[in-house]
Amino acid sequence: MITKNEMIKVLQTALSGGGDFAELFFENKDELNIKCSQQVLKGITTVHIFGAGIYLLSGTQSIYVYTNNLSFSGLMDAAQKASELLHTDKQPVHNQIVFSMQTVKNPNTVIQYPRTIPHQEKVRVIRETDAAARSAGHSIRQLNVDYFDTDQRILVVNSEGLYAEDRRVTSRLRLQATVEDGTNSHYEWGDFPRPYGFEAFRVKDDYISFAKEFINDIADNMNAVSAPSCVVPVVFEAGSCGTLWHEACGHPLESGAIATNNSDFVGKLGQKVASSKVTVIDDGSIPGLYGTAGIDDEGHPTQKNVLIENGILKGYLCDRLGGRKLNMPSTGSGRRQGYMFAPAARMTNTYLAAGTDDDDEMISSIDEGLFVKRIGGGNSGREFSVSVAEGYWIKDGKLAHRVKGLTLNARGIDLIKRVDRVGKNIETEGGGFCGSVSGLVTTTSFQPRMRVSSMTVGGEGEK
Amino acid sequence: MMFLDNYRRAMKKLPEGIAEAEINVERKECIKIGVSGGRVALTDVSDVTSIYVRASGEKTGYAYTEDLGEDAQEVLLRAYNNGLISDSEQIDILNTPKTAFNPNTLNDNIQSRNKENQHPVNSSAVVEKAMLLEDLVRKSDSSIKTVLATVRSDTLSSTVLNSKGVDISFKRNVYYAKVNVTAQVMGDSIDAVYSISNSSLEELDLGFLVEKINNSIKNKIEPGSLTSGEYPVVLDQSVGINIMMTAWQLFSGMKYCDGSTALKGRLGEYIGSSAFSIVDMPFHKYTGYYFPFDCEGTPGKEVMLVDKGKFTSLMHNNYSSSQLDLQPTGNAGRVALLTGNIPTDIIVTPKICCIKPGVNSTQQLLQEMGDGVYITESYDIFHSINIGSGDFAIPCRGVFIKDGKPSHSVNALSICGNLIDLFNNVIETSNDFIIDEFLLKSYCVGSPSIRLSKLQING
Repeated sequence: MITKNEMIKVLQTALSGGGDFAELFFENKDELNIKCSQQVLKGITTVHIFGAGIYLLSGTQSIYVYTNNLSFSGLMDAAQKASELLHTDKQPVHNQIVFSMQTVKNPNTVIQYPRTIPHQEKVRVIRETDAAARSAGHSIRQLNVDYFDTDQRILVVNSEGLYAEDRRVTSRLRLQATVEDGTNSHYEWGDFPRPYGFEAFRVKDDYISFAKEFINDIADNMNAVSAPSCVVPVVFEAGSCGTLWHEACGHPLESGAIATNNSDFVGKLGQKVASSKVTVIDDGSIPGLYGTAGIDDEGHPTQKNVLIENGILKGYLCDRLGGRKLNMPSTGSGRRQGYMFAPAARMTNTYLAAGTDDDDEMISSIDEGLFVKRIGGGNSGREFSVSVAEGYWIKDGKLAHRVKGLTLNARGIDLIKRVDRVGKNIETEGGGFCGSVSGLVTTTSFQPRMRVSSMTVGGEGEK
Repeated sequence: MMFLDNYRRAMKKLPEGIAEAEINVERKECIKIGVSGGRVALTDVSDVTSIYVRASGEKTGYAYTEDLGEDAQEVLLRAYNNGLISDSEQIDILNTPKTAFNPNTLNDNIQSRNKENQHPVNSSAVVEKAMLLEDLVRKSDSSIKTVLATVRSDTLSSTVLNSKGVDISFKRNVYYAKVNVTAQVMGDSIDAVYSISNSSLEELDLGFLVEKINNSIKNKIEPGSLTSGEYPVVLDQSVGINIMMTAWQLFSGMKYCDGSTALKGRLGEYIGSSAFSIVDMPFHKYTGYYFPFDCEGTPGKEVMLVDKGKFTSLMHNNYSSSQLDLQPTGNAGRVALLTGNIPTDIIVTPKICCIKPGVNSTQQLLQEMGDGVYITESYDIFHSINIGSGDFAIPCRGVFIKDGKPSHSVNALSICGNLIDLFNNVIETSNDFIIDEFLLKSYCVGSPSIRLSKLQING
């Protein structure tokens, strides 16, 4: 690693073409994965990611140069290149850069760093998970159990004198299985992600139960029937159905979408954009969640950001550049997968705040509708979509049967006006990855049970 | 690249315990320029080298590093030690100079293209092209209010070097242009995005890109509703590509062997209509991507996966081909779908996997359909198709076609069914055909427009 004085020289070189802000982002990351396919341990792969990015701003123009040549000369070359690529008439400003160490504790405390754990212990977790999945009582045609851990150390220094570090550790199991019943087969994958070290696997029941439920769910899904096509009330269960908020209004509230006029929320700050029951928050500082970090990837401490409060639009998610474009401060939302990406405003832990409505009444008051227990993933834009991983048809106020093959889509700003119930009991979720302009970042999205008064549901079945 | 010489030396004198070893080096040098409002808004420049290592004694182990200064012998040893815990009885099969790609087999066209690729990319030419594209799009339609035109130049170099004497490299340039626009039409905001690629900056067809963007806007004006049901359908090229970005897995030799695809056991059977064929190839004139060899060094072969409806072949790497006692097809790759981690496992991935085009244009397909729905865009590659069952439910939008002509647009749709039924319902494919890159620039898929006798659409 280059010295602090050398970092200052790199930043000054980057600024020599007239930029008004320069940042160096260093990433040193170790990943380990162990693959087990069809009960055969395929071995271990170690991954060492090691690189840096130079981020240069001049007003709202950005330059990002990244490399894995981390020698002083390599970084000076990159800084020189960044400086030359800046198309500006501004004269360079020769400010003295003095680093000031910023100390922010990562809310996710790690007890057992992955590299301190013998491989045999990790293999034991894989074997136990595999055995649990196979004991679920269904015919498994194919089963892969993969173990991953990551240990990312980042350092952000910039021309304003910031010097900030963070360390993010995660552990994860990924199951992929094909279950068959003689005539049909169904494939699914599922993750058991934790923002911790190996202590994530301290309670055996957690991952054992996950594995059994994963297989049971695939088998149940094979007995599901197609939903009819109609417009009905839809109830979304507490927990991971919060993905709907991530897709319907989280992405459109990121400064990247707002600054390019690519969102229905442009120009609506202070206006009513959703049902009064809707309060949406993004908070990267909540301990124990997958989207949590001490600082964002621009060195700004993570914070709680209220986006919509009682239906009124309160704010956008801003990174440094997005903030400049919108004339707003950073909200600690500048995130990236790693040094190969410039930062962009991204969500962290996004949730619908708890309301006052009764969970049971949301279903019992419906003659015919859909109950979504789990969402598998989704897609965003002015129109968003989410795939229903586990859904049930509601008939006369009760869950009648499981439905399959459903994707729900709507215009986000229209749908959030039709929320007519929000329950009292909020539940978090394990989390996952969100893929967007600055790569894959860890996120969670969750909610209490919630109901949309009417939504188009489309399947191949008869009503 | 000094580090390569270190690995070359290490291959000749492997550390104790290691019987054979291989490295695959992937270097990506990129320049990306984004222009908006007539000025350069963003510039990304990068030069990153990734080293994938495998080493075998009695077992095979793997390692990955981006630290070019690491001692080659130490990295090989780390890979070897990682393999010791494996309970696999087999070690990986490495290519020899006889079975690996031979650079002398490149045809003249590729040879000359390869020589051109040795020249450094001119960044000011990339800026110029992005400025031109932004200007063309902005002036093409007065309803367009915001434009971001991005032009990217990638120089991608691949090297496979192993202890059996294989030492091959290939470099190619890929140019890529993408436009994101927002238009204001009758009080409504409409977004459109489109992209193209080519092996030459000059040959990027900006006119085609502008036309596609303008059509995309037109197809979204004043959307109406649709009554759910089965309709005759034409799927646009981009929808075919969206499907293929996941559906190629049906033809993975590895997935076929482990039984995780809906086509398990059906090799040799008819799985589609006679108008439906799929081919995987190392080169296509419509894209700058070229895959002369895979990450194991195996030459990339053209493979007919579905021939007039008959499921004829699979894509293979060294492992999957050995399981079925077949030859590898140059389809060893690492990036399947999103994983959240650096993809290091050698799996099967496509090269340029395409649905074969037909003889008539998309316009002719629409006219022949008469009344039906033209599905113009679809979304969500990752969650909408189940490869194990073939079931799909894909969010999309489209245009009602009446007497072969556009009637009105419809949004918030989903198309659903099973891929095998969809393949069987293909009446005709168009002659206008596009290819797009996929994950981490590691492979491409292509599709013409596809006319189907029927498809369930929900609105």
